[in-house]
Amino acid sequence: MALYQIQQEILKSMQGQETDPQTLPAKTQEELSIYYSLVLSSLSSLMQNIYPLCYKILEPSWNELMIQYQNKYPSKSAVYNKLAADFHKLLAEPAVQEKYNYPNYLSELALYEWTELEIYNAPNIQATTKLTPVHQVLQFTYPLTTIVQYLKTSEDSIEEIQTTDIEEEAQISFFYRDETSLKNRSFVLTPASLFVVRAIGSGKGLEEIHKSFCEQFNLQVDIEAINQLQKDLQAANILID
Amino acid sequence: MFDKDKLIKPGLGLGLRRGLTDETLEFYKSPDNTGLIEWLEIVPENYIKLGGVKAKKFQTVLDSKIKLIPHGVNLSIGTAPEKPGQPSYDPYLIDACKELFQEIDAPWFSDHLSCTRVGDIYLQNLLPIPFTQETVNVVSDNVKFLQDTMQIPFLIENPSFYSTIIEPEMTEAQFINSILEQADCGLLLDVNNIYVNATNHNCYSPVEFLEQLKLDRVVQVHIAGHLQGYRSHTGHSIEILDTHGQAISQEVYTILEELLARTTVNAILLERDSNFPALRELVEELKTIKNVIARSNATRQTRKEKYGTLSDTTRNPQVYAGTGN
Repeated sequence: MALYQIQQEILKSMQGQETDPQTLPAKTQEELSIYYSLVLSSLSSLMQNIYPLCYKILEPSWNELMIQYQNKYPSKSAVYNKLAADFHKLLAEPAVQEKYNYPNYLSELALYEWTELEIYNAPNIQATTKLTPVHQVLQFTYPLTTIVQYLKTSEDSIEEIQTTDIEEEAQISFFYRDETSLKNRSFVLTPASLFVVRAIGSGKGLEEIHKSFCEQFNLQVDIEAINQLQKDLQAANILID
Repeated sequence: MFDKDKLIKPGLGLGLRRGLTDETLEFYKSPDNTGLIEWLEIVPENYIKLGGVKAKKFQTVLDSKIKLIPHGVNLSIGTAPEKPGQPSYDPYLIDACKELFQEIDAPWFSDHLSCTRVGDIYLQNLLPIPFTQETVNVVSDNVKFLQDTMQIPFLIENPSFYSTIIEPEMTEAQFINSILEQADCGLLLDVNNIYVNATNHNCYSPVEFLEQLKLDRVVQVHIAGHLQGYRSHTGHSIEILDTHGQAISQEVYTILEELLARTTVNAILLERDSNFPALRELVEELKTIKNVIARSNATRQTRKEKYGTLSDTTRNPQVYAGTGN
């Protein structure tokens, strides 16, 4: 049997699938269980570190979910942390959601926690506009900022936290790395501020953005408001020099 | 032709781990560092395309001017290509590593004799590869490609393994030697892995293994700790697990001493990847390693005076009583 075929069978074994006994004898499959156990164990530690709030909610079913994640979402990156990137996809699967009956916002919470890590670790890039270069805009169905605060500070029983759904409330979040402090920051965008952020990101100046906005909606140009917005965005290191 | 004498000899080093970076650099510059930490090993996959706090911290390491040597975990030199005769590699990783190696002026780089990627899927573990001629060919093609691309020597590391996958066509030592020859590369010899394999597979004594290897190719040594006993989720158990998370055992120090009594090496590294103790405990281990080096040097000198100039593989049974298991 060629090495390529053998390694395809080893891959199946590491994804919890049936393997061909002609290629991998029963003894080998038993021996490979050591590797599978080690992979699951390190995956579990990695995911607990990256998704502490999800872990708080999913703790009772965590090990089962790790097996499902390992088997369904293989990593195509040599960078170890990237292995954890698709957790929100698993949690969004209807069958998984139904089986483990976790709160309705959980997949979005996983995406929120993952984005925090991505922003923190993102490679340094040269800014091409006045908008801070390392950022992401995410649109949520649930009020994630409020939920995250609730999960971090709530004194509700863990059973209640693990089973309570939250009402839908659309939210657009702007995640970015403050390149001065190198800390993550985020804020909720209104549709108007999303318009402004996108326009800055496309290379326009604030005054130009404001004028086109006023022309579009037949409003009077308010230079004071522009100056204030500029100061606020600069203070938050979103607008850079 | 590979020649380890042409490479730098940085001496004793420690693995750079983020949690210990500040302390390690402080110790490196302190008067207490009497040749105990002369270089640091980095896992390149953890230092490619950095940004934010991690980039800033790495810059402090670069600013310290300590020598950095990369040791990969995901170059996956054991991966078979879909079409035989082609190297198997991840272009993104290769490009990123090349950039990093140039930045740190790496004298060589290394990775394990194992498979961590099948096709484009990373398995996040050092999976074993069969000891066959086909594997020798696959690994050699991959290593030659890496050496040609990076333009610096590559060292293969003998891994710990818990399965031989299929019936071996050759012994582990023959397998390693064949690759060293065919790929014309160096060897990173992990003395803990020798002990782990010898114990788990009861297949050789560590000294027998050493004597079968091409020791003139050993550029670097890894020494680490292991865990007694491990059981998988299916109940399969092994005697020793290679963890790099415990103190070094006496048996492993003995293998290091036996090795260094037979050959000189360019660099020795204390590997600690988990269950981190305070840096002072690692420094104590480095002192022990330094004593082992001194004793081995004396042994080698005595041997030279007694038996004349001996090649790395020449031995005298009276001098080399095996440690066995």
